[in-house]
Formats: sequence, C-alpha cells, structure tokens
Amino acid sequence: MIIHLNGLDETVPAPMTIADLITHVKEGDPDLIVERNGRYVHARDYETTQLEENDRIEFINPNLGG
Amino acid sequence: MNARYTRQLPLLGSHGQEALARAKVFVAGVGGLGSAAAFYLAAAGVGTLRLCDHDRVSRSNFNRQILHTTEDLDRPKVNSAVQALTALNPEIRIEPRQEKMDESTLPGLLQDMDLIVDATDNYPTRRLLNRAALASKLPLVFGGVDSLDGMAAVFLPRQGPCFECIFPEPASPKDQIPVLGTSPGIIGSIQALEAVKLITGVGWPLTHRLLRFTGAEAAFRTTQLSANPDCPACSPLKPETQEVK
Repeated sequence: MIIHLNGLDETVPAPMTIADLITHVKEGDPDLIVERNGRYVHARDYETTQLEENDRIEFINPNLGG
Repeated sequence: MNARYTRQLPLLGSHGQEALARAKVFVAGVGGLGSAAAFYLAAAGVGTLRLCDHDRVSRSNFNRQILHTTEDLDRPKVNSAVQALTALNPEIRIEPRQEKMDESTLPGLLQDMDLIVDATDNYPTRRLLNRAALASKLPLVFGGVDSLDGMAAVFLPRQGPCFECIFPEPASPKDQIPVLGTSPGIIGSIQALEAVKLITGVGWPLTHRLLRFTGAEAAFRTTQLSANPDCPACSPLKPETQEVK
C-alpha cells in the first residue's frame, strides 16, 4: 500500500502497524512523536494502530530547547 | 485609556485591557523563548510579570536572547530582563526571581500567579513545571525550539492532555540544541499571544493542538492532541468518570 510519510509517498507492505513502520524505515530516534492523519498517536498505541492506504504519517522530533 | 495600548484596544476591548492589567504571569526562563514572550507580554500591558531564571548572561546567549545586551555579560539574566522590560513599559510590575526551579521552590514561585509561560530549555525543568502547573491548577503555555523549528501548545489544568501526555521523558536528552534566534523569536511570540488570549478571552486558545513551525519550509502545521490515559503526571488527578478526549 502507499502511505505518505513526512510528505513523501512510500510503498510499504500491508498489513503494517505504526510500530512496524518505525522498524521498516529504520527510524532510530527513540524520542520521536507520531502523527497519523493529523492526530497524535500515543506510544502505547503504536503496536495496535494499523496503517491504511493513503494514511498521512508524520514522524516528528520534539522541539524542547529554549 | 492609556495611549500606549491604543492600537490593541479595538482587538481586546477595555475589559480585555483591564484583564491584562490585573493578570499575573509567571515566565519560566528568560532565555530565547522568554525574551520574546516577556517583551510582548510587557508591551501588551500584563500587570505583573514574575521572571524566573537562575542563570547569568553569557556571550553564547546573544544570538537569540534579545532581552540581554553585550553590556549585561555576567549579570543575572533576571536583572537585565527587568531593565529591558522596564525601559519598554515602566507601568507594569516586574518581579525578578533568580532561583532554580525545582520541586521545593516552584510552589512558592507560582504563588498568586494566573498562568505559566514555559520558556525553559530542558526536559527535567519542563516536567517539573508541568507537575507544578497541574498541582496549582494553572494553565501552561508551552513553547520549544530546535534548529530552525519550534512548537507551541496550551495545556489547561486537568482538562485534556498535559505536557507529559505528549512528550514522554526522552530516552536521549540533548545537551546543546542548535538554534537560530528567529526560532525562539517566533515561538516566544506565539506563547505571548496565547497568554494574552487566555487572559482576555479573545480568540480560541491553542488547546488540544500542537502547533509546529518548520523554518526550512516556512510552514505551520497543527496536530490534534489527546490525553494519555496512562500519563504518570495527569491521569491520577482526573476523576475516573471524566471522559478523556
């Protein structure tokens, strides 16, 4: 299926969860936060949130400096 | 009415301006974010600004911390901040607190305050402020920056998500975060805007949303937020019957 990851089209195998996607794209930042279709996804839901065709996923680095 | 506020009175009304004059805002940190936020809060006529920062001015501050000038090197930041803000608006009360924010000092520091602007630069202090905001039932106006980017959100006490619902403790905290001065300038200004909105009731506050600014793209985006039912900070404080949004 095709999803949109940080604004870029990405073809990924289905079925796939958010947790699978993090592994699939080798995202190494353990502190990233995730948005799916405009909504924040809590880390406790990564394993159970199934991606769907055309999902818009954002991997976001927290900005915590001042 | 004071001519100083002529250009904003049509937006806020005299009731709004009076609400600002009565308001007491705690500015946690007068670094990059705090510089922009405190300047605009003072300019808008917030009656009391309590500025807290234990640090002294150093040369590496000057690319972004516009409250402080080269002549202020080694001065306590709160002192140079008072000087700059008083020069801008001598009609407001500014309370400097050169203290470290921790579990023992925060309850006293937040005494009598109406709202917290989180302009700190590290996760441990942000977490302490979040806990103190929840305990004191004060709104927390969060801002954070990194490189050309920044984020802001308003966390209301015990309603919806809190800071730690959205930002769990980092596994790999960053020490020195690179930042261009414009990032805290933009985000600190948004924090001042959100504080003014909360105080005056004008507009719709940035609650249940994370505003994200990406400087390289010149883009603003928002993420819809929800509370984490397992949040170690706020979930124990919410009644079990309350619907979690």
